[in-house]
Amino acid sequence: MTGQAAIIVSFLIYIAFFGWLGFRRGVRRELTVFGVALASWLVLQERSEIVVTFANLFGAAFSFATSGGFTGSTDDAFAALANAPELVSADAQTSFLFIVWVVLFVVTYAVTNFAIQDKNSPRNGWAILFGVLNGLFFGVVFVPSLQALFAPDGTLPNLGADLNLLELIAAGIALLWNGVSSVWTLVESAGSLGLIVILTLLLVLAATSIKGNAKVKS
Amino acid sequence: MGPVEVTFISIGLMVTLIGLARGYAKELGSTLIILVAIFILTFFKEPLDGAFATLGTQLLGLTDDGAKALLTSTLYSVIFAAIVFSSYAGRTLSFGGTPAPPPQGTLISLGIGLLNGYLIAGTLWYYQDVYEYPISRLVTFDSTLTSTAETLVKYLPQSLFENPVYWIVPVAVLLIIRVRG
Repeated sequence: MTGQAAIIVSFLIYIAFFGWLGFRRGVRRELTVFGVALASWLVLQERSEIVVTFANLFGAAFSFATSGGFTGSTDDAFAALANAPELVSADAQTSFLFIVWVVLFVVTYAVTNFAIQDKNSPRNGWAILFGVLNGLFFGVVFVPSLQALFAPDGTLPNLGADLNLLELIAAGIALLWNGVSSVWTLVESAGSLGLIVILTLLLVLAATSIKGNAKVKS
Repeated sequence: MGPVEVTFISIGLMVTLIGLARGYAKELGSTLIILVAIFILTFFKEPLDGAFATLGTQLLGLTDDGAKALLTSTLYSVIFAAIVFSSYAGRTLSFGGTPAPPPQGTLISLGIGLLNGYLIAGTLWYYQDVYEYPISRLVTFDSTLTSTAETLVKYLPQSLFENPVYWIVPVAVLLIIRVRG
């Protein structure tokens, strides 16, 4: 129970931090990062062969250029080109695509900081929401790799193979639900008083969120 | 007719959607009225039961216990529905001002809509359950409750507190906020 409470608290602090960060950056910046992350992930999944082909072509061009293709003997250059190994082998494709996605994600995050002005990126509830979603993306990206640092046998994770944001969100919701159930057990033990206090607090929070309540004329 | 909880959960979800559409500034006014209705009907349950029993026996000549239970359950449900209808139709009590913008405003509207859905559907279910489902005299109904239904019945609004006066606490607080602004 204590272990799970620690996990829930850590998760809540994690999403609160990224929610706050999202609020600070504003909705346009967060939406841009979220859009680029989602779109690039879809493209890399559906058109992975194009990206890998481009990478291998780049590797081949590099071999050609460094083997004197432009300045020296073209025969040697073409021989080097024919014998050059693939930059991205079949086994390394998944990891390569994952790294490409991570780089795109992080670069977009950094670029949006100065490419989008503060005045064009309003701070509101949507900024918090997309900040939290981007935080979950960061979790999906970095947690498996960082986990390897703490693995006792040093086993490396299969990067990119289990990139499942929906699974992470579902696990987070399940975790929060367990926390709510535990809190509910505590409230039930307080009896009717606990229940009515919770209900009244929730209604008061809702009512006081209305700005500029009309006062009754006396 | 399928499991009874499906019917009442559907009613609750429809009320939730209405709440989402109206917005929580208006829904809080309805919540206030619904809580008052639940308090009144629960606090005065004994005298009301007696009055409805007399009505059934003296005026309608009912002798069958099942028929009396159907009458009592129906009267409670109709009175409650009429009070709820008045809180939604015509000039309604609402909390004036600017509600929070989406997404937080939408989430609050969903929460208050869910609360109203629970209070309305739960109350209608209570007045069937406490009189042993007299609606089975009118429609085909399997009186054996599922395990889910048996669990949910323990959390109906009228079963939640041992004393109905507890319902007046949020009513009083909401009224203070409504008056003071």
